[in-house]
Amino acid sequence: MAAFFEQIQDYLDGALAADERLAFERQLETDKALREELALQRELRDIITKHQAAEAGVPALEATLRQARTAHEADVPRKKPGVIRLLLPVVAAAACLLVVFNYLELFAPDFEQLPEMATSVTRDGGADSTYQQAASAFNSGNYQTSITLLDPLITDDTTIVRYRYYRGLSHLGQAQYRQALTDLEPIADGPSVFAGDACYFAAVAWWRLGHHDEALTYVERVAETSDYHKKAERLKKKL
Amino acid sequence: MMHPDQRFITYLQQNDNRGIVEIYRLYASKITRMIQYNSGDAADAADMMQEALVDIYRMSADGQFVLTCPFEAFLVTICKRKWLNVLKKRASSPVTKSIDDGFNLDKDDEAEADRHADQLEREHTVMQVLANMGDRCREIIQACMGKEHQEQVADRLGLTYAYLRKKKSECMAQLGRLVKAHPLFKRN
Repeated sequence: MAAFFEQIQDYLDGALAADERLAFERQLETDKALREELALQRELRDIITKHQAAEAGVPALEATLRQARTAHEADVPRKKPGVIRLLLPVVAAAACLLVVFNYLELFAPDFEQLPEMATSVTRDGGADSTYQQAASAFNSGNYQTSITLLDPLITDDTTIVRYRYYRGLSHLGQAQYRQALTDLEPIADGPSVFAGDACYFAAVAWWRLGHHDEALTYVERVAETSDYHKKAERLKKKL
Repeated sequence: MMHPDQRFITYLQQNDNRGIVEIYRLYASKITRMIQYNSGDAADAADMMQEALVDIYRMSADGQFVLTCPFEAFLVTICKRKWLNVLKKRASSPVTKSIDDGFNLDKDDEAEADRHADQLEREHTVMQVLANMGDRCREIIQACMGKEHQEQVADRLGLTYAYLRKKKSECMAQLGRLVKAHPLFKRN
């Protein structure tokens, strides 16, 4: 099997000798699996090459987009400009206070603040009812209860990432950082929509365990688009 | 067939300041209305639009992408999908209204916009899966897909050329498996 893949890469790299190339192309004519894998590998290679080359231009484009966005927002008619003008001194004073408080770290973020657990998932009766109870317990801070309720759901259906994600967060809420990591790390390393957020919470768990290198690895993977990016940046500074 | 709105793609490729301002002037308010109508606010809309434009840039950066529908249809489709993902993640604000409200897209344009958006999601998924792979494989794949010759890559990474080629083939096979297992690819 390894030779199968090596041959595909060599073919795409143009590294096959003329006779090997001919033999490979003859095999392509009759081997559907080989054709499909070659097409996939070619697509992967094209996508990665293109995106890597594009990456250099992204910061400049983002700067232009930010400018255009700011200019557009400034053009949008403001509501009640008079009121805003009247409030300006108050806003300025509040801003000064914010700067002072921030300097004194009175606004240090609560890195372990957990999100609300969604309650609108609709599944079959039994699982749904247990899930809703787990969500209620989680949202009211009864993490031990949410863990107890999520355990059987995970046993029944290991494919639902959402259950494991919230059980991981429940462990985090209980300051059971190792258990939290057992749930959160595979999610952080996986392809689900929870991956980015799981990276952040895995970083928090490692940080609490005093493993700053592991925490840094995860905190650096929190995408800019994540709701937790700002917190991740502050945690990174702390680390 | 190339749509005249291809010029908007060119603006992004060339980081054309005036052109990008025009994109915001023409479409930002519409995107904002759509997001606000579906449980979001103006800041959410601006974020969605900025992300979508960067994604379009990445997808079209090699100059091969041909837009076959109005730019508005493409941009709206991407922002709509991105926003649905955000809502799905938040889950506390289920989508109860049609997210199409406010737009009357021609059926053909809609189909073309969907096709482009599917490709964009596919590419985004590949890059996401790559980003989540182990450090060594990711490093090898990224290094081998750059402009540097593979013998130089092997040198730089402290590997023999033969080992690099073997490892690269293993890593690409693993990437292929992960991508094929992704729900988006399974669906297709």
